[in-house]
Amino acid sequence: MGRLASSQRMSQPSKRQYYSLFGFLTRHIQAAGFSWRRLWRAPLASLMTIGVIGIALCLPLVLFVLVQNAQMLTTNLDHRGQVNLFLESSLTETELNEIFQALQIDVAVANFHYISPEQGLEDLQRETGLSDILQTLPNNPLPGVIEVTPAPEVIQQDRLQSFSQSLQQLPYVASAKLDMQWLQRLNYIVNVAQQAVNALLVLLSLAVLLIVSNTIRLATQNRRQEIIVCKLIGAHNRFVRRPFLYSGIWYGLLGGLVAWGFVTGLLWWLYAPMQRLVNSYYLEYHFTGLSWTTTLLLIGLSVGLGWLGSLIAVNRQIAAMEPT
Amino acid sequence: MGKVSNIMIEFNNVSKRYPSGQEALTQVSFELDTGEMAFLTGHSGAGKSTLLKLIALIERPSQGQVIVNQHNLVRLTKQQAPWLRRCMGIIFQDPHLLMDRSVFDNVALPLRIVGYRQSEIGRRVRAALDKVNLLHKEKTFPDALSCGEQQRVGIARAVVHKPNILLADEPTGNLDPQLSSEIMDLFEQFNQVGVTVLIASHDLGLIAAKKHRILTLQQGRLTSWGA
Repeated sequence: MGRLASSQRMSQPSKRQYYSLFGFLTRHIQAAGFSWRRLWRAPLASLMTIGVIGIALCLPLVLFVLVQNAQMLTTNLDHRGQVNLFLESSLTETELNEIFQALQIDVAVANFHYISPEQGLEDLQRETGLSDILQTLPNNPLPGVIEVTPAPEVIQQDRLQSFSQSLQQLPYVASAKLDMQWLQRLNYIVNVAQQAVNALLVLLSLAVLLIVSNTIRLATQNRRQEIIVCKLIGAHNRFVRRPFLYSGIWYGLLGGLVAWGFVTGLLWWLYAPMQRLVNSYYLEYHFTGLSWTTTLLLIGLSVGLGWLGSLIAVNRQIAAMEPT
Repeated sequence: MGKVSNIMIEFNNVSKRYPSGQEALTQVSFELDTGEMAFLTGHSGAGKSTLLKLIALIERPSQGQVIVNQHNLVRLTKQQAPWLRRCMGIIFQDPHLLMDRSVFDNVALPLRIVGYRQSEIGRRVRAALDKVNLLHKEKTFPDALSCGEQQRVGIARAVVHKPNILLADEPTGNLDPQLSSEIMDLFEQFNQVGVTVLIASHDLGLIAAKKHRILTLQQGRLTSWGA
């Protein structure tokens, strides 16, 4: 039995009105509006709480975006999965054609690109600016190179290693090089960073929870008198705690928006130097900022933490405040 | 609506002993009919406040039964207390107004708790403020009001949801005789429209002028319950 059986006179709103969607919405909108106005009664205190939440969430988020970019960068590299064939020196035209034909009929080869020793030397001079030193060499020390791109199935089925070995068997090929080890290490580093970001996110979410919880706990104590008066005139714990829960939600929402602002600003600031870093490795890559999904998840997380933090603070506090 | 019983408030051998060991009420029994008005009097410390608190379920009896509006309060849980309090209006010596809200919002509070529509709230709050002659002060904040006006706002808040029972604990304690008399008149007006009224007061002069039942408490015992 949740309510009293009789005693509801004509003056009371009917149960239907109380439990209707309209009544439900009215009470929530009233509580939400009330907490919103109350938030700005003490703007400095509210802004400080919101700022702390924003900064706490901003830190793991910036790292998250950086790690995400690093991850995409390494997968991009992964998919390049190129095998470089270093040819024996001074091959004739027919010998070269022999290799080309062998590559053309190999179904595992998607395409290939020949770089002659002369072209290789030219590229090296252009890209490194070592032309003075290179010009002092008596003859071209570079071998001819064929860059072989494997068919997608080879990469998908993880057969790069055996593919590289089979190319090694071709005539006139001095060595086939598939340098994956550094990529793998980079992958491991990115994984470690990702785990660290996850741990940081959990820790700082906990911090947000505690901040909101403490703020709301203080608010309930400051408004002890009001809580007791409300209970005296027939308010349930639900009614009393609703504005506090909305306060938590507002803190979370605004904190999340502040975090979003900080992250966007920081990434904008970091964009140029990071792009320079990537370009220095001759990589074609454009940094991505916060996606819409991530932004929505951030706001959702932040609102959820605000709600949960205030729920933790409010439940026991309000139950303990009874009129005497 | 067929009435099973004509009794609104009933005490059966009620005793209240506080955890400190102090016995506030001893074996109190009385009945108050629906639509009746009565005064509760006695020296301070005689147990007047405790008796009112038992009716509002702020305290629970150590012994005996309290029946209000056909509900045996012993059987009501803490969660059900708000439903009970919604059928009563409670007025204190200090009106317990919320200082950070306007007079209107203070009076509207019981209606918001129950979940009335905004339009209905406006209508009822203005009717209640009109009743206590404070309609022109609806936008004022309580600290800009005099003691008497604050007490009247407290009364408007207690009656805005048209309760069955009106409980008042020393409602005129801080007021001069003129204002006190006006407030008593107000209670009589509510009583005339069918509200059961119980007023705790030690102002014997004021009480004697009215022709209502007087319950007298002496050291926790009911010594008279006649007219």
